[in-house]
Order: sequence, then C-alpha cells, then structure tokens
Amino acid sequence: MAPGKSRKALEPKLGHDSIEDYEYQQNGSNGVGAGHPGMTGTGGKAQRRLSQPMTAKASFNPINSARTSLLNVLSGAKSNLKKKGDRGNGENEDGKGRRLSEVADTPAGEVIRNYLLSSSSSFISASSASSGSTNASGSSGNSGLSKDGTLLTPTSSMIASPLSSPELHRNRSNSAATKKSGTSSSRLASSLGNAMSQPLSTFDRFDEIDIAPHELSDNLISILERPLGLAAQRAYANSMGNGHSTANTGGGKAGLPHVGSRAQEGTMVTMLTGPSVNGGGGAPGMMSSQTGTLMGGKSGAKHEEFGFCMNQNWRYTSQYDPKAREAEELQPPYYVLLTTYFSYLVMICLGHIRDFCGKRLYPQSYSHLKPSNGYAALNSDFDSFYTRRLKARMDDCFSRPVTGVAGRTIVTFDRVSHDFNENFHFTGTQRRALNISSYNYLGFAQATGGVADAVEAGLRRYGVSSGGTRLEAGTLDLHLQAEKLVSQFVGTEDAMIVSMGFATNSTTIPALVDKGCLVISDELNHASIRFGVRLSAASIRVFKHNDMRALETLLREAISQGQPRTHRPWKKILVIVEGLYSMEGSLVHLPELIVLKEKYKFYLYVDEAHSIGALGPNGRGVCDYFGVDPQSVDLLMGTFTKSFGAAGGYIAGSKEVIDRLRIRSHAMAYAEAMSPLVMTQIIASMASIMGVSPPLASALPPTIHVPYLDSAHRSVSESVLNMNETQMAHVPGPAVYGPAPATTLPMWLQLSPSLLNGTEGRERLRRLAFNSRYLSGALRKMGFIVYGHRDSPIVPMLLYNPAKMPMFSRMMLDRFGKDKTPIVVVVVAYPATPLISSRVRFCLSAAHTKHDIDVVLRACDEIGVVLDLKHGDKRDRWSAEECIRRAEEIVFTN
Amino acid sequence: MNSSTEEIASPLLAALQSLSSTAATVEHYFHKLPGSPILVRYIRSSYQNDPWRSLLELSLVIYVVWTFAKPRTRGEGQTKYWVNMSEKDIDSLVEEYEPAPLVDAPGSKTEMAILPALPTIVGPASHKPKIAATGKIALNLASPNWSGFLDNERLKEVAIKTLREYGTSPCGPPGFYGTLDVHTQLEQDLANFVGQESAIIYAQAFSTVSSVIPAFSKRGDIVVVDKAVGFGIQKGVQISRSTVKWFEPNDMEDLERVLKAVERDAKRKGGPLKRRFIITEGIFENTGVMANLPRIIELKKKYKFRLLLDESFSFGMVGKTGRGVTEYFNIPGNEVDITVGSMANGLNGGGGFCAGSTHVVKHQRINGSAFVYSAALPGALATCGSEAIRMLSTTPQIRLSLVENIKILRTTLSKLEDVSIYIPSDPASALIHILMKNPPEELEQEEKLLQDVVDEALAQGVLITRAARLRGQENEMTPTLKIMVSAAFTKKEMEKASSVLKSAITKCLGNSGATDSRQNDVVNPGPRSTYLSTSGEAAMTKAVIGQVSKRYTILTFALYSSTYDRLDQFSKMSVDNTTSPAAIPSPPATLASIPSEDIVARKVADFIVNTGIGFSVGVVSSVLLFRRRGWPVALSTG
Repeated sequence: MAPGKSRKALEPKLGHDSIEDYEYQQNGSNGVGAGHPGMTGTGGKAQRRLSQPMTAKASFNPINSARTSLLNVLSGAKSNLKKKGDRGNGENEDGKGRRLSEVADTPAGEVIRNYLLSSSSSFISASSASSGSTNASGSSGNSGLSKDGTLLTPTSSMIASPLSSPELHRNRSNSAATKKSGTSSSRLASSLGNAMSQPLSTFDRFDEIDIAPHELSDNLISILERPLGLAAQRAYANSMGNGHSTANTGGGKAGLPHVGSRAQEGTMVTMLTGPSVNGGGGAPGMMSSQTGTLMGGKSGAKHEEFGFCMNQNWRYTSQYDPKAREAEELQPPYYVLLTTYFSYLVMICLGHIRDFCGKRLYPQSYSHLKPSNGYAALNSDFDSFYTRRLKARMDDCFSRPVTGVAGRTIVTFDRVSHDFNENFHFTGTQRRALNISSYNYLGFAQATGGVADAVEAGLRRYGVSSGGTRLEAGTLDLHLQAEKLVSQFVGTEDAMIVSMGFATNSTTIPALVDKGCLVISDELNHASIRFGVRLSAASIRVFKHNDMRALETLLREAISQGQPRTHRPWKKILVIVEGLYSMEGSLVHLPELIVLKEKYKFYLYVDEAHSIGALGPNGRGVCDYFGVDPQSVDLLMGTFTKSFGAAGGYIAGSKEVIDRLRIRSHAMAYAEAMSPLVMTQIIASMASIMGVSPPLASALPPTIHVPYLDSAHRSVSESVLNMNETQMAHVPGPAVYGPAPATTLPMWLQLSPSLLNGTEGRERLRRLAFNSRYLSGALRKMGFIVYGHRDSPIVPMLLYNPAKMPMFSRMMLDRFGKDKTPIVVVVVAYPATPLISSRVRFCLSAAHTKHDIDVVLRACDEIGVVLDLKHGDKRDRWSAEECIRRAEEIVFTN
Repeated sequence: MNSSTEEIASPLLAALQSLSSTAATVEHYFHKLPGSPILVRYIRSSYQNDPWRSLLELSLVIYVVWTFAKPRTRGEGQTKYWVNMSEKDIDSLVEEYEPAPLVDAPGSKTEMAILPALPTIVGPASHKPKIAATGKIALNLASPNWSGFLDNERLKEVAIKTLREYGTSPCGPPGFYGTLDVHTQLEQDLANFVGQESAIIYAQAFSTVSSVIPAFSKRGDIVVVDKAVGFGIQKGVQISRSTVKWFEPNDMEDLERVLKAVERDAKRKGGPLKRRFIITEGIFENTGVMANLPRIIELKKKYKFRLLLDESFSFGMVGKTGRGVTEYFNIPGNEVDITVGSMANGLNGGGGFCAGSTHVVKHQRINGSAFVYSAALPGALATCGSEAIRMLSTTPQIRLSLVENIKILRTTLSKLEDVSIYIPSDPASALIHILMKNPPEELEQEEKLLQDVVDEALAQGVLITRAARLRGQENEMTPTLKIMVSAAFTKKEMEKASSVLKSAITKCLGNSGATDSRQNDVVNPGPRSTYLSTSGEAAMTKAVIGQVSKRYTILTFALYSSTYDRLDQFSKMSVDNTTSPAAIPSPPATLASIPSEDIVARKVADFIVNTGIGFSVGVVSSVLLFRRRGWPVALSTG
C-alpha cells in the first residue's frame, strides 16, 4: 500500500549504438533501390550471403528494403494508372508518396524476395521452383512480368526459381507494367475503395513503412496478401490425393470487393486477391510470393482485419524463462485510493438520494422496482442499485454495438443518449476504430483469408446446424474430426467439444464432482466455473489468487481435517485454476502446481480459456509455455472463442475420463451440438497453427540469419527462425506437440500452403507474443500501473477512480491527439474486479501491427497525462516516443 | 501512579519505577505522534464519567481488531469440529490420502453401450443424412428439424454472406464489443415474432433457461415447477436456490393446490412480498406433452404468479406460423412474462433466446450469467435465425406439411398404442416420446429393448434415438424413444418411416414383457406416467438422486385460502414495503418521543441515535463496500 514501495518492472540496458540501429530500422528503406552492392548477385549468392553473419545495419536492409520494395510495387501498381509503362530505375528516396514501380525488379528486390520467402519458410520445394521457372517464364517469355500480373511477377518468378537468377536478370530488363495491369488495378481500386464504409487513414498504413496514407488503400493491401499460389496447393493436394485444389467459390459472390482478374493460361498470376490466383489455375507450378505474415487463401486477408507486418524483428516466442523477473504489482499513491473510495461514496449517496426522491416524484419509472398489483418487484432496487446508479453512468462504454469483423479494427455505431443512458439512439454514423478489446489473440477473426475460405466451404457442405444433441443425433463426422484434432493440439489422449464456452465449465464440473468432493478454486476463477461448482453440490474452498503457499496450506487443512464434522476424508479434491486470468493477466504457476499435485494427490483442472493458442512457443497454452507435459494435468479445458476466432469450448484429458464425461456431461445429452460452421473454423485455424503433416516441402529453406541488436535475445529468436518445416513447431517442451496428421483433417478441407505448413500460424504466435510484451512493457516504462504477466496478451492497466473509466473509454474513442485514430477499449470495474481497482483491459492480437500498438501507446500517454494515470514507477520513465523507438529493447529484455 | 511508600519492598519499588518511566516514555512519544491530541481529546470527551461506556467502546475496538485479524476463509480452527494436529500428523495423513478416481467406472452395461451405439452422420445433417454405421441414407426422425431447415440452401447462403462480412465469431462477450448489429436485428425479429416487447439472445439454447431462472429468482423466492420439466430448468431452479414447489406433470388441479398452498404460507408468515414464478414448458422436452397454457395463465393471474414458459421445444413447431404454444392457443405472447426459446431447435440455427418486457430483458443484460460471461453468438447463426423467422412467417405451408406428417405417424402408431407402447405426447407435437407399455422390471433391460428398436429402425433406414438421460443427475424419467417429425419429408417418405417404425416396435417390443409389475404405477390419464414420480418406488430404487424428493418434502401445507383480484385491478395489497434489507431505521422519531429533562433517558436516546446511525452506516458500507463483512458494522456502530 505504501506509495513509494513500488519497484521497477523492468530495466533494460542497451547501448546507444543499438538505438541507432533501431532508428535506422524505423527509417526503413535506405539504399534499397540503389541496391546494396553485396546484394546484387544472383539470388543464390545473396541467399548465401544473407545466411552469413552480417552487421546489424546491413542485415536490416533486406527486411526494410523488402518492405519498401513490396510497397513500391504496390504504389507502383497504383501509379501505373497514370503512367503506364513507366519504368522506374530503382531509385529510392525516403519520404512519403514515393512511387517506384520497378524496385522489385532490382537485384536487391529479388534478393529480398528470396529472403522473405525463405524467412517465412514458405519456400515450397525445389521441384516447384524449377517448374515455376520453366512454365512461367517460358510461356510468356517474360518471367519478370506477365500480361496482367503486373509488378509482382518478378517476385513470383524469383520465388519460383531462386537459383535461376541470370534468367531473371534478363527478364528484368523486359519487365514493364502493362496496360492491362493498369486497368485491372483501377477496377480494383474503385471497387475496393467503395467497399469500406469510411475511408481510413490510419488503418491503411502499413506498419513500418513510411508512406502517406493516401498512397495505400485496401486494394494495395490485398495485393500483398495473396496466397502462396498453385504450386504449393497442387503439391499438397497431390500429397493428399485430392487432385487439383482450385475450388473457386470466390468472395465476390459473397458481396466482397474482390476483383478477380482472371489469369491467362501460362501467365504469372499474381494480381490482387486470392480468387484470381486460384481461379487462374491453368499454370501448374506457379507461385506468387508469400511474404512474411501475409495470409494465404482464396481471398486475401484485409489489412483492416489482420494488419500487415513484415518486420521479422517484431516477433517473439512466448516461452517460460525462469530467469525473467516477474513484474511487480505496483500500488498507487494513497490519494488515489482515497479519492477512489470517496468517489464511490459520493456516487452511492447521490444514488440513494435520487432513488429516494425519484420514488416519490416519478413513481412510474420505479414501478418495476416496487411490488405492484400483488406482484413482488421483478428485481429488487437494492440488488440493482449498482447497475442503476453506478454502472448506468458509463453505460455508453459497454455493449457498444459494432458491425463487421472484430479483427484488428472494428466498426462501431455512434450513439447518443438523451435520458442519462436509459436509452440510446443511433446517430446513423459509424466509426472504424482500432480494436484492442476483442479476444482475437491469434487474429483469426477474419472474413477473408484461408480460414474463412475453409469455413465457407464447410458451410456449403454442412450447413449451419448439426441437428440435435451429441448423444442423440447431433454427432457429425466433423465433430469427431474436430475432437481428434483438439486432443492432438492440446497433447492429450482425447477431447470433447461443447458448443458454448461458458457451458463447457458449467456442464462438465457437475459431471466430475458431487457431494463429498472438495473443489478448491482460485478466488478469481471465472463465473462459469463457479456456476458449475454450485451445480455440482460439491464443497468449495477458495484460495488467494495464484498463491501457491495459500493453496498448500488449504490442501493440508482439507486433507487433514476431512469433511466438515464427520472428518471423513474427501472423496476427491479437484483444484480448478485458470491458465491465464482474464481480468488480471496473471499466469498460473503451473510447475509449482504440478509439484503440489504429486504431493497432495488432487486432481487438476486447468481452464485455458484465454491461454490456449495465446501462450507457449507452439501456442498450446500454459503447459506448452512452462514446458509441462499436458498429460500431467488431469483436465485441460479451453475455449475456441479467443484464439481460434470460433465459439464453444473443449475438455481434454485421458480417454477414460473423457469417455465418461461424454455420457455424464449435461451438454452432451441436452445441449445442441456444435455448429459445423464453428467447427470448420476451429479445424482450419487449429490446423494452421499446428501445421499439417506430411509437410509440403522436401527442400529445406536455407538457414536464415536475422541478427538482432543484442545477443541476449538472439538465441531464442534465432532458433525460432532457423526452423524449417520438418522441425515445424517443435521448440522445446515435451515432444507431444506435433503437426496435425493430414488424415485427421476432413478430406474436403482446402487450406493454402502457408496454413498447411504452419508458417502462418507460427507468424501469428510470434506476432502476438511480441505485441503482448511490447504493450505491457512499454506501458510500465511509461509509468502506468499494469498488472499481469509480461507474456500475457491481456494487459490490464489500472485506472482506479471510477470516473476515469468512462472518461478513458470516451477519450480513446474520440482521440484528441495528433493522430486521431479512434481506439475501442474495454473498461472493467466492480464486480469483475475489486471495487477500487477499476481498470482498462487491452487484449492484444496477432492482427495488430507494431504501429497499432504505437498508436495505443501514444493515446495512453496523452490521456494518461490528462487523467493522471501514471502512478507507477517514477524512476527512469520513458516517453511514449522513446518506448516506440526502443520497442525491441522492451520486448527482448527480461 | 508513581507514589512510593516505605511499605513497598525495594525490589518492587524498582520495578514500579521502571514501569513509570516506561509509561512516561510512552506518553512522551505518544504526544509526539501526529494526531495524538485529537485522540486524547476524543477519549476524554467520550469518557464522560461513564466507565461502562468506555468499556463498551473498548470491547468494540477489540472486536474490530479481532475481525481484522481473523482469517478470511472458513475453517482454520474456528469450528468446534476442528482437530488440532501437528505438522507431522498432517504429513502422514497427506501421504495416506487415497482419493477416489476422477471419474467413476461406467456403471451399467447400457451406459457403456451408449457411445458405441451413437449414430454418426457423415456429411451434413439433414432430413436424409448418411449414417456412418450403415453407410446408407436414413430418414432422420431424430433431429429437431420441424420446419425442415436443417440443410436449407437459403440459410447456407445467408450464413456465407454473413461470414464474409462478419467473420465467424464476434470474439468477445456482448458487453465488450460482441454485440453485432445482426444480433440486435435478430432480437427484434424474435420479439416481434413471439409477440413480446423485447428479446435477448444467448449463445447456447441449453444454457439459456438455466441462466434466466437465477437471474430473476433468488434465494427466498418461490418457484412452482412442473415435475416433468427439462433438464435445463431443473438445473436453473437448482442454482437459483429458490424455494421449489413441484406440481404433477401438467396437472392443473395440482398446480392450483400448490399455488394455494404458497399463498396460504405467505399469508401465514407475512413478511415482504416474494417473487413467485410458475415455470413450465410449452411442449415438454421429456414427454412431448403440451402445457395447458390457457389454464396456467388463468391460474397465474389469479394467484399473482409470473409465468416463465420454456418454449424450446414448441417454438418453431406449433402454432399457425410456428410461434409456439401461445399461438397454438391463440394467446397473445405478452401474456407470458418470460418466454424462453431455442433457435437451435426451432430455427435450425444456434443459440437460445429469452423474450419479455423491456425490464425483463434489460435485467438479463447484466445479470444473465450465460449472457454476460459468454462470447456472443456467431454472426452467421444470428442472420440465419432472422432468415428462418422470415421463412416461417411467410411460408405457412411448412406447418401444414408438418401437421400432415405428424398425423401420418400418429395414425400408424395408434394401432400399437395400448398394445405395446404408450405415447404421452400431444397429437400436435412433432416431438413424440414413446414408452413401453409393459416394461420389464429392470430399467436397464427396458433401455436395452428400446435400443433394439432404435437399431432395428436404423437397419431399415430410419434414424430415431432413445432420449438421452443423465441418470443420477436429474429428475428420473422413464426411458423413452424420441422421435421428431420434420416437415421436410414427403408423404411417401413419412409413410415409409412410420411403417418401419411400426414394424421395428412390433418386432422388438411386441407383446413381450407383459409379465410386468409396474402396471399399477398408473398415475395420470393414460396407462403410465412418463414421470417416475417420487411415489414410483420402482424407479426410486434405481439410484435416484433425491433432489426432487427432498424438495418435494419441503412442501408445506397451510390452511389459508383467499382469492385475489385480477391483475389489472388494483388490489389493496401494500404497495409500500419496498425498502431494501438494509433499511435505515429512522432515529429522529425515536428521539422525539423522549422527554428532554430526563438525563438518563437522554443518554439512552443519544445512545440509540448514535448506535442507530452508526449501525446503519455500517450496514450500508459493509454491504456496498466491504462485501458484507461484519467489521464495518461493528466499527461504525461503535
């Protein structure tokens, strides 16, 4: 409680030279167009060079230049509308609005592409490479450019044949943007431009590329976000025995703004969105580039749903580091606490006065709170006091209606209230805001991209309902496949799925324990767990949040004292904890729990609602994070809402237990089975995190060397990047986490190669881990009081005073700073949290780019000053800008 | 204090001296403390030559300190049953502790046979799905597919369109940016459709009712529940911790008896008015019986109960356009206070809903736990719901063919009725439960026979199921065959299905098992009650949990009766009495009644006033701020 007691959360020490590099990196694209002398060789050579240690400066170039050149390609596509056939000479100026149509053609560009490709491990195979070069470049006689493929073709050809660079050089000279490309992109531009309800400024921006907003719009974004291409799909399809994989249902039908520029036979199909790529499936072995995080699929992902971020430095592996210091929970100064209590006191008094007067002056507005006509009040005014008198004051911050995808951004409806938040009226306007509120950890909330395509195919095949309960006639083959996949994902023998996350807990716990059993529950466990325990009639004891010592004391007491009065030993003791606590952002101390479990022989039930997918080097939750064998936990529960962008939940454990639960759990017998729509989303997203074996590639990508600024974090990140597909997703921990066998997936399921080989999933995991650490670390550095674990994607920032909650929420939505990006945030207060510690809860996502988090940081900084929120560590505070500049330092320092 | 006399022995003197010096030092430092003069002044002024008062205050202070120091969790040496043990003893106990296995071994053979016997559908669920076990297409009489929307192309298109606009899931609870415009739209559509003011949607149909009940009915409130209600209601009632009174399945006389008893009880006990609910189902999930809604409404109005009607199995099934039993009986939707329904069953989408007045719905947005703490319904399921409602209200021929199909099945089966089977279900219900007329003694055997029927029917290409039960966790029901008729079948298909069913029943059940002992258990109209009531000993011997029976015994019989006016007439019932449990006593009144000359009386008055104010402040702060702990009350009373 003492104000000065606070300790530092982190204190990174890095030399100034490294900061220079950061700046360098921020600046981006020096010397790309000119081409680094060392990088003008053949692709193969460059590759080799890249794989050797380099100086930081040189090694940043490929990334940035790749970014830039890609961007240039894009802006070039746009500029071609005006200047057809204009060939840039590869010059590259810094600054906004650069227009370089041909940068991609420069050797550097080629190298970059190779580099990018291999760094994203999406390099398919040697065979596809050769076929790519033969057919693509051969048929058009111009591998650099296709007839309508425009500017990205060099990329493609490069990727297809990384070793045939002489050819490329030759082709490069021929390459020019054709008219056709101009027309197609103009169509695209117009259609996409109209598609969005509102023009965006901020969200159109690529993360780290310094370019004027107007230069980029969705069309360009979607250009970037193409699938890997046919070769890979074909290769995989063959391996699956499915033949050609070009079912083109197309987003266009669904009213989406894709323009399918139908590819011509034998040309490089690169333009625009997925449907076109797949639709033009005449050319076998063709590939378009797959860059970094880009989402493959028939329909390319949209930037507003899933941010584009290519900087490989902005990746981190979520993994338990025993050496890392745990962040201290800071305490605010006394005056904050006092004013908080005082605020509540004032509000309570005012509320009672209003109630007192209101009941006498406006009896009809209180009619539902008073007995009338012989009926008791439907809800007592006392019970609803908090809701009516405290929460109602900030009702506009809750349940804001939204539309569209809850991805990186979200569209909120503007609304006003003329009767003190009793009723809301829509103003008719909408606002697209940065969404840092949804549980979209891995960014799978998408209406476009490979997973959404799979869901659409699933919908066409299965419809929306599975008809009945699981124990009657509601079991589809899809259920069995999903359950199998889930058990493989989690690393247990078996699993069962339930159509609602809340019900997973509330209907399973009663099937596990009954009278004479003891449930020991963390005090901050979710309401669904309490609901379930209450239904079960088991005794319940609660221990202090995450306090293993308190748990041990309680266990000793429970075992020694036995049941109340009779002292009979408890039939069984079930300890229920959450992996990641949704309001605190704190992580369970799983290794300690396992030790306790061995000693005290209790059963362990871990609710991984928030941690599954979001934590661990393989995304398999807390077990993966701590390197604990998942089979040492009796029951692993989790939900699909959060990381997988679906709905429902699962229970995983040994076959014996799960089979028993299948016939004992309420949900199995009486609740509707999970919708096929949701299951396809689960299968597709889960498989893409796991990767599917047999892996696509036989050829290993060359080892990539991405030097970081300081050697401390190099080991982790490098080992991650050095992985190839065959080693896919096998960072440490028990060796139970493998890729999903292709046989477990539905035969009809088509996934793009980047999903199949796990690259995309891995990218998402790494991005989420980076974003999480970045935001929580930076907020701490800026002097805010932030709870929770540093690796947690949930970042609660303390506000304390109740009046600051609505203020903060509104100010984030109506930004007043330089950059007016609206941000939607979640503020939570009593009863979800203790009365005084009202907070704002940021939920990070892999869909966020670093730029997005920069925006949040700046916003917090602006608002934090106004609202006096910086009560954290007074020493060594950084400004928002400094945090943004030194992002890597924040993330990679322990 | 420091007086010394010669009589005192020198060692004692020394001790005294040191004591006094310590006291002086303490006093010295005490005065140095900031705020100490205030404390001294306060103590001095409060002392007032009244040692008792000081003593009281002291004891209060001690109490406060004690409550602070007291451990917050229960146990820990507080109860008289606490056994003190050394660490060593505990260690050995820990070592010896042998917990039961996490799940008990499967009990009966039928239980073990459940999972292998489950039909798995390959490909989409529809009225004619492909079954994995047989590899053939079967007529699906096991899915709630009354309107035949299960594989509706239009719904698919709508879902795909929504998917491409909204993604799969809103990725968050409704409170935190999970409320999509399509949700709001569906809520409006539902409210209009069932004729209520407003509606709220839940992400799962099953969890809806078990969340709605505890949102309204709290501890001390009274719920009157039909004994045959579905599992969701049973659990909802259980978790609400309200006082439960059960009435015989759809028995209106018994209902009235219970209502009367409740009323008498309330009159006898007095006290504030309690919330009272009648909870029943439109068409019973467990029996297919239709509730006698007109009579229930009559009774509810007469006895001033609110009605919670679960239409999970009647919404989308009965009524001219499928609005449920209210439409069937031509009763306006808003006559029912709280309507619960299922979009998963009635609309072949997903999720459930609750409709009622604006207050009813608004209250749930903060207090419906399955609403607040769960992710919102996927957008595609919401738009499918809206579309299905549109289809229901615009195509009444769906209902016609459903009625026709039900008729075909019932006519076919009627020949077997009272021979080998008994059907409690309503003739209008598409959900049909079939019981054995002469069941064998063993429950297990009965289940086995019914399973044989299921298997036989499946072999002949008709998919039906046994009703899934959770024995030991619910009100025991007799085993039944569960059949759900769909409008999607053509007349020919339906005839085929009916005849298959008939032959399967004849083959497996025939007239066997006539050596029955339970024939005497007849309770209600019809040969057998579906509900193994608490009096049905045969069922009770089967490891039945005692929940019902326990609750049933709670039934109190009082001897008052009275009739209340109708709802719309203002009765003389006290409109007051609304104050909260923490009603603040009004001290001024007490004060005024005391003569001012009397010093003692004045002191008493002071005491009462102060204590009263303090107590009420304490209660308020305790309740509002300190999670109802005791110490703030004590502190402020002091």
